[in-house]
Amino acid sequence: MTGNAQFQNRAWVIRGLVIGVFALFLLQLLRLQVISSDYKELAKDRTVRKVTIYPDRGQIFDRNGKLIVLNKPIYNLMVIPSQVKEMDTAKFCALLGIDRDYFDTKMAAARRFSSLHASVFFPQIDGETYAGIEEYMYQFPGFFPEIRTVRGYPYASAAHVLGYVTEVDSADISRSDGYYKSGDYIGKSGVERSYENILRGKKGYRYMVVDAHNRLMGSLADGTMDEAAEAGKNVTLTIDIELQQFAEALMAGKKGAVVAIEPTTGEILCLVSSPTFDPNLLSGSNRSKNFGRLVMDEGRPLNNRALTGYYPPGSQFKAVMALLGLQSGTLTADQGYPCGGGYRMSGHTVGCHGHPAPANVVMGIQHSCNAYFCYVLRHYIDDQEGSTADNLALLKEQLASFGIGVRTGVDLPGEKPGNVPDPEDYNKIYGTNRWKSSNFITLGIGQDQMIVTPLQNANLMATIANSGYFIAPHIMKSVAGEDSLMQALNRRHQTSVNPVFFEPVIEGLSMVVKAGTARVARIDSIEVCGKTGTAENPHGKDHSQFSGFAPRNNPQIAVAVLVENSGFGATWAAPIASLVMEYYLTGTIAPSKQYLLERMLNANLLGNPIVPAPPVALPIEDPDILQRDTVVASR
Amino acid sequence: MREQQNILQRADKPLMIMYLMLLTIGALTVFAVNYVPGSSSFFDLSLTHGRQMIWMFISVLLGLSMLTFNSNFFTKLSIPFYVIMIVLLLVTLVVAREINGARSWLQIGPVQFQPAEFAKTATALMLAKYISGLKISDRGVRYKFIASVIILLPMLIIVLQQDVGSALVYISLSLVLYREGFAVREVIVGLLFGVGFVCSLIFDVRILLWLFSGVTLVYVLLSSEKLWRKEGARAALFTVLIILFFSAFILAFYFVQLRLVLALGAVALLITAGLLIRSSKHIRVMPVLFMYTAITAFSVYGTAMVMNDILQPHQSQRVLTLFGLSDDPDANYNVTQSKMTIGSGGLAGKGYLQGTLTQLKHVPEQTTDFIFCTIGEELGFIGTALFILLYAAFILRLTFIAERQRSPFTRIYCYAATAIFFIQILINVGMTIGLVPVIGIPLPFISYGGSSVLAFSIIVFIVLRLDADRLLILR
Ligand SMILES: [Zn+2]
Repeated sequence: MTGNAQFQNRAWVIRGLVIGVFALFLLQLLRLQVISSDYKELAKDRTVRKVTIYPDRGQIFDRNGKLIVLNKPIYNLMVIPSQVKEMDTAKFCALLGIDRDYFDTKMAAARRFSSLHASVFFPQIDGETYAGIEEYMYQFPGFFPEIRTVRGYPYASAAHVLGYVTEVDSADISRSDGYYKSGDYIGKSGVERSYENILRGKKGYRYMVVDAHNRLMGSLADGTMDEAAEAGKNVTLTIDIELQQFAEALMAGKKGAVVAIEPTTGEILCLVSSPTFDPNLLSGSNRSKNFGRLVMDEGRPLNNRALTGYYPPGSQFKAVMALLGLQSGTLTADQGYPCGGGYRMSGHTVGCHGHPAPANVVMGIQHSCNAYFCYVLRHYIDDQEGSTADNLALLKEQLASFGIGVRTGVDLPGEKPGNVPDPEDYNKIYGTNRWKSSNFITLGIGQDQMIVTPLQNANLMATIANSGYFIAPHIMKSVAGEDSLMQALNRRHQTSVNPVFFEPVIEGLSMVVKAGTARVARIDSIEVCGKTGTAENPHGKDHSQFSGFAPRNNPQIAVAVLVENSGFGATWAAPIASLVMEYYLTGTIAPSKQYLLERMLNANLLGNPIVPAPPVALPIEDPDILQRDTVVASR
Repeated sequence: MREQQNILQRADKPLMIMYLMLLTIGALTVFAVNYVPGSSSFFDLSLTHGRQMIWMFISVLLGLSMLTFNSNFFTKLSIPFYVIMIVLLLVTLVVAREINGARSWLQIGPVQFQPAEFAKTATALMLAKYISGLKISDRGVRYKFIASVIILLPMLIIVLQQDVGSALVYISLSLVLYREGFAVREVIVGLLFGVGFVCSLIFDVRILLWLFSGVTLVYVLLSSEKLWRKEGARAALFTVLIILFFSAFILAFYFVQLRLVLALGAVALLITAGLLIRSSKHIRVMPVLFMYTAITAFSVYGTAMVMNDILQPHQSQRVLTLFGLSDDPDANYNVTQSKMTIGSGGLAGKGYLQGTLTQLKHVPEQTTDFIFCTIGEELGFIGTALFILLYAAFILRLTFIAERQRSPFTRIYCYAATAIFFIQILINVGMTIGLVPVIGIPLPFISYGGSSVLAFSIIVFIVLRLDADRLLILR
């Protein structure tokens, strides 16, 4: 009794402890059940598992309805470690062609991730290989295939146009406002990238109910909450895949670019950047290995020279210079200028080659007279109202209306704007306003700081063919239900030059091919207009260039060709452009041009081409002229 | 018959009603856990919850018949019951087959049961019997030692059965010792011993050394309050010596090469401190330092042994998980699943028998250790709060019953019952809501399991029987 009394107050300590613990429980329960929503959210994810259904990417067709990009199944071999039973590991490894180390490493990694959830054990097994393994899979519980599709390219061509698809990286995920999840695929370049939103379709979701052991218990609410996946839309490109292959074959063994555009529509008929590669290399199981090889390749096959290659336009620019001169009124069509082997200034001379004195614009262009266009530039800058700087700024502005010095707006990623110098550039070099036309006289012949991409050259020729307007070059021909997109693509850009001034220039371009520097580009029965260019290359041999269009009346195709480090425009670029135009317009190459075709196809200017010409039926009468064996062997 | 009516009238109504409410909740919850929409009937006794209801029926029947016993029966029974239970525990340790990683189940014919569940009752009775038999003046060191051994003996055997959860329950009996006059510091040291046992499984032993040293130092300094007041200089010197002792002792664990030197230094410092303080009556430092050394030695050398030999891998993993020291997703799984299930109930719950996660068997051990999840999911915060309050009222009622006794035996026994229920709920509910490591231990009256329902019912009915005689007998 006394003992009881002595420590009776301790009862309250004990009750206090009990009350304290229970109060703590109530607080924690309040947090878990009422205040925090973390666990509720988590609960949704864990038990009602949202299974993503990946839609098929849209297929891609060329302008003639040929399927050029398709989907083919691959198999990711998945593993749920807790479901793996004792098995014949040696046999399993042999089937997959892996060693015990790989097996142990992957299994350990999978267990670290979770023993109840699936991880990728062996990625991207192609269909044929998987078919060989499939019948044994029942012996290996816990392993199962997950089917995904990868891109397939039956024509093995147009890598730069089509681009490639790969797994999203963290930057893609954070940019996408929650659309992409790790493991999704995304177009990384070319059409795959610029039309990602159309091609990818819409991911679907199935709500599966699973228990704590990740066993499937059925679908939630009989699937009424599921969202069906929407396949990506099929698209038709403006590309003519056979023309593309033909141009690629012509460019094999050469560095450079070929761009062909249908002038009236701005549709890109072919777009070649050489060296190129088989797009199948960047799809499927060896993707990363091949990607590494392409990145390391000295020829930079991943660069899209057609859109990003920076080259001085050279003599091709003279056509534009003539147009600007005519528009400004500082040049008339029958203006003649002297050329005694060049344009002489106090300090130095801009040299020219021997030709009849240019009596008018047509002759100036026909003979590609350097002196003539130095005069045109000088008068353009000096004779117009306003300061030298003002008139240079005007030149830049007018060129922009031709899509030069600005991006043409092509619907392919990564296009570069090229360069037209502006007054600020010369202020920096010579001091503010302490320069005059003689300081940049070679701008008139497409040199100085003038930089143009092959795409801009082709677009320029399309503009001239259209006598004064262009539709921004584009690659997308049609997508069902995307009318506003197609309207936006077909917007017409008017140049600042009056259509009447185009006639003498076109005549000049025609004369270049008929009786000028590009006679090699003639096509029987078709009047070709064009202009060679030899871009000075401070790092080596000059770049050979040609751009033109045909036929003169009702032009169907405008082409720009650039072959790096190969010398005069007439040597390589003009014949290639001519063959491309002839092939496109007539569907074949005339017997009289077979010798030229043979020479172009077999010319190997690189010594060791990276990727062979694609195996296509070329319009060649004697197939033996193609010595492709050497090329194939070098692969 | 008249006798029995008398007893029923005298029995504590509130406790009885709360007990019956808890049993009902238990039956309904076990039914909910195993409920398959459209195919379960509450009255189908062949199902899990049916078996549970049979056990509940047996428990109540047995309990009611126990009310007819003479209350002296329980005091007399104490010693033989305790001895029998210790023997049974030892037998179990030898003959039991491993179930769920523990050797704690005994099979007698068709019946399987866990002696550890009943050993709690036996220990509570034994403790009450021993302490109530002593005069207050006899409660010296010998008393404290024997009382501790009564608790520690079954606990040790149960640890050896690898049933850590049940063993931890015995720690709670230190509450009884506290109520019966153990000094606060002694209880704290005792708790430290128990908590240190768990912690030594988790933390680096060196951190534990610092922890124990700090606690011991504060304890020594506080208990020598009078010394500080009267002999400040000696107290200061003593404090410095003790701090140096702790430092040397701890450093001995860090510097393997110097271990012997440091250990000898620590002993020398301790002896100096002891001589310095010998003549003072204001401080009793030696028992404390002895305890300190014992605890550290146990945690340091016991850890490896316990981690490797006694605790099952899944248990040590769960302990690590609670403290965020493990990133094994599967070990985190149980706790996360449990918290998710409870959290998904929200304020008002999904409704009885509407627990989707429960029906998906989202949480492991859902009928036994994690049964609280189902209450959380189906009845929401309102349900869990009411449930927790009911338990709180039940436990507080036990303490009130204890305090109104004239018989020390009944009082001590009631406090033992209080402590046992309290720790069961503390660990079980605490683990499901992520406040306590996941240690398998049933929720009294709710978790599925015949032994557990029967054992907890017996504890309650003994309280009711003893309390009914509170005005009649002074034992
Ligand atoms: Zn000339």
